[in-house]
Amino acid sequence: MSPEKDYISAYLDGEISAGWKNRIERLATEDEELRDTLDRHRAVHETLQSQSEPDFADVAERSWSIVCRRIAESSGQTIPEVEKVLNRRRKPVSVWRRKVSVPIPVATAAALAVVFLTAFVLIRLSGINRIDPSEATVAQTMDGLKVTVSAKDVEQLLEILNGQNKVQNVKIELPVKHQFQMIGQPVLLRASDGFGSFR
Amino acid sequence: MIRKVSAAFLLFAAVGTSAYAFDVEHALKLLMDKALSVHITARVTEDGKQTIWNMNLSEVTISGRAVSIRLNGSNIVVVAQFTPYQETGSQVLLVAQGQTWITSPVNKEVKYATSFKSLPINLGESVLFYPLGVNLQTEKYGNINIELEIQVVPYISDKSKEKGDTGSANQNQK
Repeated sequence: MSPEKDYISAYLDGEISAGWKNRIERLATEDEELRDTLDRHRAVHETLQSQSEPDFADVAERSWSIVCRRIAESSGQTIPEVEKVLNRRRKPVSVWRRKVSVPIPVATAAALAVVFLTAFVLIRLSGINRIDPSEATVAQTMDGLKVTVSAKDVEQLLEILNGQNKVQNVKIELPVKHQFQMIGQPVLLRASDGFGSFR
Repeated sequence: MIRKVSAAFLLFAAVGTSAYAFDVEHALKLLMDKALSVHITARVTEDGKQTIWNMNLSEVTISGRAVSIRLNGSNIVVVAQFTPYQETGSQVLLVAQGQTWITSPVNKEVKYATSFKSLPINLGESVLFYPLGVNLQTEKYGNINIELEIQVVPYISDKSKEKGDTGSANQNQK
């Protein structure tokens, strides 16, 4: 068989390039054997195209009945029981129940993408409602502005205040005309003990 | 839709944390209930008897937060810190920390003295602190001495106090 004859089926199906198509048509005018081959292929092609597609449903049903009968014979069950079991398995699986296997790296990447996307959306939305500093000043002077402090109870609030480690400092200027000197050790005592100006 | 979902998420987060957040007004009221007022009277005494100069001041604080005063004289600097630690009921542990720098007019050297004293007292009870010291045996107070009288009382919020500063001072000189 010449190479051209290998392309006869493709030629008849219209699946060949223009160059090969012209070459086959030109050879068919010169080569009688090729022309006969083409005619036979064309006749088969047209015959297949003209006939309707056979209905396999009846065949499938008959095959299914045979399968059920053979399973019933081998398992000792009745044919309706076998059909019931097999029909249950033939039902299409719901999309939500269908098992989907995804590689772990892909699943991790997808989870990270969801987290970042959520964070991005939230940041953008919070940015939309952000108050200008000048507006914030006005807002703080408005009556009824609620301020909340994150603390479990007043003890924690006191700890927060104490944590600032600030000491109230008062400066006192003593009279400059007096000269002082150390007398002894510093003393802390009750006034009721009757010392000093409390005698 | 996204905004609604985000708002619901933020609301959920806010509800979750609201258990640990409370109104600052309520917090301030609780704070004021526990606030203490420290009244300090600084005196310069002569022979430990006669007051030749005095100054009164009041500071509002809370338990564990120190009130510090600094006395500047011609040859002396005294820094005294008074920290009240409120215990059960009307009991208060008063901690006094004193630092004194004093120069001698003769040789110009600087003496430094430091002290750390504590005394359990009742609210309203007056205590005396002598940063320059006294001789309790002989009751020698020196020619000129500094006497600090401290009184810790519960802070009472009234309008007259709210109008003024949390701290107040009055000075008298004879």
